[in-house]
Amino acid sequence: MAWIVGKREQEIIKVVNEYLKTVSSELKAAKQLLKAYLSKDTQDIETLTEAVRLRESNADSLRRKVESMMYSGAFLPNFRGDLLGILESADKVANRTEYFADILELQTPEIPDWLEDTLIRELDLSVESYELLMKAIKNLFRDLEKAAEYVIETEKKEHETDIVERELLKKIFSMNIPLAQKMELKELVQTIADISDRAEDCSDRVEIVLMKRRV
Amino acid sequence: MNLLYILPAIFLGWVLGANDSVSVFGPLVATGVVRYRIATLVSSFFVVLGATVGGGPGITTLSKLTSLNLEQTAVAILAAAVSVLIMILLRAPSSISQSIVGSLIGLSVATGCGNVNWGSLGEIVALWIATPLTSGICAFLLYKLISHYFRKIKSVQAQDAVIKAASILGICYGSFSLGANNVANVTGPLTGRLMSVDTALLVGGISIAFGILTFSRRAVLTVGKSIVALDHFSSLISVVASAITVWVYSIVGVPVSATQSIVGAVIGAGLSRGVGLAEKKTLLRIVSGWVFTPVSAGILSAALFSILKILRGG
Repeated sequence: MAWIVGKREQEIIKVVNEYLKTVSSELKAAKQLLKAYLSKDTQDIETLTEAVRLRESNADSLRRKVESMMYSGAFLPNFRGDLLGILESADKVANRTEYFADILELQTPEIPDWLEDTLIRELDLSVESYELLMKAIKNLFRDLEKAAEYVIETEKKEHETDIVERELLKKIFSMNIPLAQKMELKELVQTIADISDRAEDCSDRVEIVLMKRRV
Repeated sequence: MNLLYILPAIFLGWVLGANDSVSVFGPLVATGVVRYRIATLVSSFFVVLGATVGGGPGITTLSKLTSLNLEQTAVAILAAAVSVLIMILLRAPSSISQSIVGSLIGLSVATGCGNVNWGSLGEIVALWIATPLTSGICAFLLYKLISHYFRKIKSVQAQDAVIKAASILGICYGSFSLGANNVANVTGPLTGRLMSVDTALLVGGISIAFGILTFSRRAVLTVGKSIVALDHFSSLISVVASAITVWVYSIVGVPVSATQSIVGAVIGAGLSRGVGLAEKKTLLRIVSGWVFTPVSAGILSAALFSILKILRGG
């Protein structure tokens, strides 16, 4: 069917894929950042925080590019708004990831050793949620049935992240540390979980698009 | 003087183009699948083609309805056109067929100067009921059938491209059907008396096309947006189902209401998808327009004729 698809649509799909890839690389940088932070590698922390910010900013530019391309008349009007809504929603994942980097760089929370592995696991799950969301969005342009499957997978992954988040919060508040530190750790844990939550919110939008197109 | 009698027919054609273009591309333009300007250009070309190529069988049907003279027929046509124009301005797209029939009957009854063929009238009224039902059923079934294949298209961009291309083809076919079927309403009553069949088809077709090009926006947005919440696929199905209905009637030589046809089709497609009426008030307004139009056209034509009579001193 690719032969009947217009050039404008192909170009937009290309930029959307680029956008999704940029957010994905932002999340990968965030993962490296957490590891560098936990190993107290100061130089890497600075470089990786900057990398997260730069990718978030690049993603913003790409999203704006899609917006302006979209209103040149590509796709049918219903889908134009839908796709922009999906990208705006995905952008919240990118924003939250940047906020996570800010917490590490600016607040420098003190993370107890025995919390480290679970924290890394929580971030891994959040990143995996986004990766599944990315597949769902990409499959809007490849295979709508697969897109629906990835939406369900994203929801499941978000649920897994929630469980780890609660486990972490329970541990934090059972620890014998100052309340200020508890609150700081709580914010960090919740920010990581938010990445997954926002990926799921975005997958809900993808699901609505799929339902609207169901004939 | 004879040329003066053609003017009301051209006026009616213009109003018909404005009113009935809804049935051809209303839902497609209202949902943004096709741009208004492109739709009107394509549609006006195919209306003329449909009128001249396929308009023959239906053109004599209306001339059998009454035995009014040329002047009375021209007055009836003018009254029909004015009635529909008023309905367009009130944002209630009405039926040209009903308007012209109401107008001819009203003039015949009120002035007592023409015999009404009540048998023909009965058949025509039965068609007014049959048309939206036919198009509704057609849309319902067409939706079920086409959606089965449409689901096999995997991606958003391919689905959108198919809908865009099919919509343009749908407009071509719908316009051709409209021209073939509805040209009879415009110049049918004058055919054989004032102009030959070929001239009647051409004059009727061009005047409808002119109406589409210059005055269709208002009616298009009323029907396209207000009856049910339409998605692109349902819009396309409605237009094609309506075109099939009008085309079938034009093959058997019966002018039907394209407006009734699209309203039926829009509801049929909606029901097939499991979507009910968006605004029952709008539907009520449209249906009451179907009753109000022939009655008001009849009264208006009788009044116009009486005024003419008085002006000429009895």
